[in-house]
Amino acid sequence: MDYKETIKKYLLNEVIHDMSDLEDNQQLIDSGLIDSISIVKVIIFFENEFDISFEEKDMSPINFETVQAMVDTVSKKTQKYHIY
Amino acid sequence: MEEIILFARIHDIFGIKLMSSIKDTCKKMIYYIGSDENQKHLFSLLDTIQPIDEKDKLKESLHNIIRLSGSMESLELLKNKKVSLWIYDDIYFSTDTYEQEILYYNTEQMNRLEYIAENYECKEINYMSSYYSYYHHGYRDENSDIFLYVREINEAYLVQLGKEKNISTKIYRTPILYCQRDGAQYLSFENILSHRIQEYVLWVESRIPNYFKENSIHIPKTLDGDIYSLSVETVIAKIIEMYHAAKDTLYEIYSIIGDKKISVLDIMNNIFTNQYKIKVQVANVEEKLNSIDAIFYKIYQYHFPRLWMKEGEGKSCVCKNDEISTCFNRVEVEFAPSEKIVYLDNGKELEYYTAGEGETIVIVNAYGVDADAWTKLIIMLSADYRVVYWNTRGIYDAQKPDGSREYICGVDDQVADIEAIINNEGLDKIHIMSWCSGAKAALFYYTKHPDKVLSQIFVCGEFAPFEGSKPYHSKFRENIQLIAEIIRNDKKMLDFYMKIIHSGMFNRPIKEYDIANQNYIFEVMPEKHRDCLLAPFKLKETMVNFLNLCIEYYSHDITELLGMVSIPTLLISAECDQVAPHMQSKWVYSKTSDSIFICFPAASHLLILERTKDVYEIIEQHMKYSRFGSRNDCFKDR
Repeated sequence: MDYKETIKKYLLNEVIHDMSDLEDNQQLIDSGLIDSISIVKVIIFFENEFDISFEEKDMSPINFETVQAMVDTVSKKTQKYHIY
Repeated sequence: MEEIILFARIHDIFGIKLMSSIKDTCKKMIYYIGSDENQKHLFSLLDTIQPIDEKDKLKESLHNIIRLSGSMESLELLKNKKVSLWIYDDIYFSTDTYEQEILYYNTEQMNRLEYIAENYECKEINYMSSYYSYYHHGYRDENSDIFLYVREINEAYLVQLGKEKNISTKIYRTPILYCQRDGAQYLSFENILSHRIQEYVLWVESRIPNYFKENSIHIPKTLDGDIYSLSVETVIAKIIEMYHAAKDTLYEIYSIIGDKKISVLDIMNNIFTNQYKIKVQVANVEEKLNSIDAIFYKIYQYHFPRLWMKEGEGKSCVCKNDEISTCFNRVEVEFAPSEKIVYLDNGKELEYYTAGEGETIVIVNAYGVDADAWTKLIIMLSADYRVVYWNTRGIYDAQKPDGSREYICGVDDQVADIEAIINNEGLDKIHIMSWCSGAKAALFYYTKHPDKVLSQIFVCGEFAPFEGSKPYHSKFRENIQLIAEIIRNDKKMLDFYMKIIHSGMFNRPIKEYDIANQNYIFEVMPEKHRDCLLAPFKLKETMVNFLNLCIEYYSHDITELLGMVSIPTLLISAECDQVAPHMQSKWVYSKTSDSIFICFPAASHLLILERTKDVYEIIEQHMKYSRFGSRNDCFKDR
C-alpha cells in the first residue's frame, strides 16, 4: 500500500484545501497547515484506513509534523501490528 | 508683597525634581495645585527612586510645599502674594485615542490658569513642553499630532495671556517625555527604545527561538531621525539657568537642545548589536522587510515620538549631550494581593483577590486562564486603583453548584459570582474589565446593574456570534462543536486531544522561520505562558468542562444588550489576534455610543502578558479622560 499517496490525498482533500500538492518534508504543524482539531481527524482516518491503533505516547509532534513523518509513523504502527 | 512659586500641576518625577531644584535656588515658598489623591500618587512615584538620599530629599521637598486643592476657596491663599506660575503639559499621549478628550481636558486646565492670572497678582508664567511629536498620527496634517498641537495652542495662549496682562512669559521646549513615572528609569527616548527592543526580541525568540541566530533585523531607512540626548538633571539645570537669566522682552521661547543630533538608527544599531548580538541591516525600502522585521517596524511607527522642531523657532540653549544608558535592570516589585473568600448562594466558596486602593476595577477573567496571567498588569494598576479579580468558576466539577459532571457553569453563573464578590466587598461603583471570554459576563453584569458600573474595559473581547461575525471567528471556535463531538463519541480521542494541546504539539515555538509560517507566529503559545493559559487541558475533567463552558458562551448573542450601553466603554484589541479577532471589538465599537476602539499593531491575543505597559497606558487614559457619571463631569485629578 502506498501510504504516502493515501495520506497526501486525504490531507489535500479533507484538511488542507487551498493547496494542490505537499512536499514530503513540508512543515504541516509549525506552518499552521494542520491545526489541533485536524490532527484528531487525521488520527481517526489513519486508524480506520490503515487498521492501526494509536496510543497517548504517539501524540508527539515528531510523528505528524510532515507527510514523511506521518508515513514513517503509520509504517511503524503497521509493522508492529504485523509482528503481533 | 510675598513672592511665591505656584506649580499649576505636578504629576510626575520630573515635576517633583524641578520643584525641588527651584526650591533650592529661589528660596521662596512653593505651592502647587493637586488633590489628596494626586499627592498620594506623587509620594508613591518617589518610592520608585533608587538612591535613598535622593528619594528622601525629594520626599522632604514634597512634604514642605503647600498644596491647594484647586477650589476657588483654596486659591484665596494666593491673595496678596506675587505668583510665579509654573506649568508643564499634563496629558498622556502614548496613543492618539483620546484626542478630543485631551483637548477638552487641556482647555479646562488653561481656563484655570487664566482665572489665576486674572484674579491674583501673577508676576510671571513659565511653561515647559516637549518638542517630540508622535508624527504618524497626523492630527492636523501628516506631520503633526495631538501632543504637538496642544503644545502649540498652549504656547500661543500663554504668550497672548502674558501680553494682555503684562505678565513676563517664558517657554521652555525640552526633550523630556512627560510623564516621568519611574524613578529607577529615566524615561528618555533611548530607554523607551531599549525597552521596546527587549520586548520585541523576547517576543520573537519565544516563538522562533533560533530566529536571531540565523537572521539579522532589517530596519528601513525611513525610520531614521535625530534626537538629543539630555538627562532630566541637565534639562532642569538649564531651565533654572534661563529662568534666572536677565531678559528685556515680555516673552522668550527657549529650545533646550544637545550639542549635536544623534541618529535614531545609530541608537537602534547599538542596542541590537551590543545588547542582543543581533545584526542590523538598513533597508532602502519597506518592501524588503519580512514579517518579523515588519513587527518591529509597525511597533516603532506606532509608539515612537519624533523630534519636531521648526528651524529658527525660539532661542537655542545648547547643553552637552548626556550619556544615557540603554541598559536597565528590571526592578522586581513585591506583589502580595489579599486573598479572600466569598460564600455563594449555592453554598460553595469562591476565592478572590484584591490589590491596591482607589477606584475599583473588577476584572472578569477569561475562561480557564489562571489569575496569574494578570499579575503584571495588576501590579501597575494597583498603584492607583483597587483591583478585584479571581479565577472563573466551572472548570472543576467541585466548583459547580451540584458538583456534577453534567452541570455547565454558564455566563449567568459568572454574573452571579461577580455579584457575590461585589456585594462581599461592599462596592458601590466599579469599573469592569474583562479579557476574551470574560466579556459577556461583564456586559451581562452591567446591563443588570447599570447603576453600579462607571465604565467598561474589554481586552481582546470575544463577542461573537452576531450578524456577519463568521469571518471573525477563531479556528478553535469554528471547530469546537466538532471537537466536542469527536471526544464525546471516542473517549480515546479526548485523551489524544488533551495530550496534543497540553504537551505543546500545537502552538509551540517554531523551529525555523519560513514565509509559510509568517501568520502562524501569532498563534504560537510561548513556553512561559503555557501553565497559566493551558491549565484546562491538564485533566479530562477540566478539558470537558472548558469545552462546555465555551460552547455555552458562544451561544449568547449580545447584539441587543449593546444598545443598552450608555457608559464609557474602552475596547482594546490586537491586530494579529487569532483567538478573538480585533474585528469583533470593532463591531462592538460600532454598536455602542460612548466607546473608544484601539487596535495595537503587531500584537497577539496575549496582549495583557506581552504588551502590558501599552494596555496599562490606554487604561490610564481611559480613567483620566473618560467622563464617568459619578464624577460630575470632571476629569480625573491625578
